Amino acid sequence: MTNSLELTQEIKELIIQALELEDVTPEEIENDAPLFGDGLGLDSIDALELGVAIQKKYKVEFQSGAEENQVHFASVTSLANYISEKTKS
Amino acid sequence: MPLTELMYMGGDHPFLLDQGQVVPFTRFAEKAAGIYAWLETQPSQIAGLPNVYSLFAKDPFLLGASLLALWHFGASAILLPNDQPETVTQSLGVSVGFISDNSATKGSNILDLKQVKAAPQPVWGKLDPEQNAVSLFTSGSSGEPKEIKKKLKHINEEIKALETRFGPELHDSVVTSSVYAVHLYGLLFRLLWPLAAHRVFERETQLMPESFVASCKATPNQCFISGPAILKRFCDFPHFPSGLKPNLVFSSGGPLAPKTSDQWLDLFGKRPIEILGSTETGGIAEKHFTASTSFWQAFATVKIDQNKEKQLQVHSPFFAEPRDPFFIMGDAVEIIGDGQFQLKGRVDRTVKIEEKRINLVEMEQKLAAFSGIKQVVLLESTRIFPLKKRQSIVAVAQVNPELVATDELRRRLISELKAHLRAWYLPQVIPRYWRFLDVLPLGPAGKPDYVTICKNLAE
Repeated sequence: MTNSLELTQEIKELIIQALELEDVTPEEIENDAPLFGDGLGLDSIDALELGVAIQKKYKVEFQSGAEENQVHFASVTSLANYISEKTKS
Repeated sequence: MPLTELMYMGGDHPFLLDQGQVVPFTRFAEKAAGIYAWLETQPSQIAGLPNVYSLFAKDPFLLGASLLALWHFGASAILLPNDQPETVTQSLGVSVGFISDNSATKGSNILDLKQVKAAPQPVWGKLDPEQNAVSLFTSGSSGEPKEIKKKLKHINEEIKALETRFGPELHDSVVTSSVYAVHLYGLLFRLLWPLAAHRVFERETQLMPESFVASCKATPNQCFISGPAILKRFCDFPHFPSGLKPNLVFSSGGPLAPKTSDQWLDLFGKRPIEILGSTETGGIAEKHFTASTSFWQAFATVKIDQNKEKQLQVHSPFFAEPRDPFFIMGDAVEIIGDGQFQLKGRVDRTVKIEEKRINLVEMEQKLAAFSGIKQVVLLESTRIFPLKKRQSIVAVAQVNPELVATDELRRRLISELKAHLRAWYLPQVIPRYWRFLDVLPLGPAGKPDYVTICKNLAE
């Protein structure tokens, strides 16, 4: 299993690559800063694209409803927690 | 059943699918009664303001109950497209109160829908079809947002036409959706049409492919109300189980790529039904496919024509009186038969970015007001970066050079400009690509030379 430091770095790179973000470096994305709304300014389409990219890379699905997904997608840390939780077995 | 008689007739038929549970209409009526009770506590009229409330709710159940409560109270609703702070502040300048399921602001004239308790039912009468129902704001061609008013009869007429055309195919399908009811398409297709037709609709909004799959498995007999932004991306999801077949899929809000339509045909055995419409006119036409081509076919009660400039113009009972003039759409058109036509692009600078209609002139004006910006031009990303899958806006600006002297300053400026726009706009439409030039290429009339700008920036 990937350790969490590597995992958070991977997620940051995945965010930038999957969402084709410009003018953002992995270092600038803070682990606990909100990804949506006022933070990085991502939206529901980004969540969808990021979800599909995470599905492809880590084979992790987002089964739950929109409310719970808001929790998983809140920050890099929460995404890392969710992915490591789901890939534990 | 016309919406004007929905509460009068009442009933305990199933109306909502909430977390797998079917909810009876009595719950809707109780919620509407609670909202009605709050309206009765409000000062009946604030001097100078019409009897209008601003309304924003992502939850279609609470939005629908609010609308019916307002209409029976004799009030109408300004349907806000988002609850960004500036949008709410501006709306409170033209309405007597704000009703929301997620209000950050508090006040005696602001109702938090999550706190509404059931209340004794008032005597629900029949509504007057001439009553104003909703106002929606949309970007006008001049750059100023314009208000579009709908009367109850307009909504009734459109629902009647939709039910006549699609009702037999939909039958008792459960209506699910990836679009909120805060715009006309979602308002009609996922909320008011199901309410009027006594068809169950799902409370949850389906934004992720996994939850859509789960919803289809739990409720195979469903009709999915969606749009190009979601449909195009759901195709990328690798795990659609075979045999998954929603009865019908609707797509509106922007053009659906032919490739996406083909992919849905392959995946689910049916093309999404594409609906052409606008906030001003309501629904206009549905797309028809032949072996080699496709065209728009106007709905039975919608008249279409072209004006002298070969622009599409529309007349229908969904928005106009018989004597009213045709509404000019701003799309170049080729009429190919009786009610049949093909679209040939926009004639103004209104664009669709992932289903969100944006007037580029309006956003340019807001950016130009930012200090240090000398001139700014906005372009659709598809014109410059055709390979990027995300539709977005590219901002090309001439600024004071010291503002972008270093990478760090440049990034700071970009983040400030984005924050500046966020007061009015949703993240979806805020420019994602920023280019700063010393001089903006100008054409003969002193207007930005779009062709040269695009050519210089293309990767």
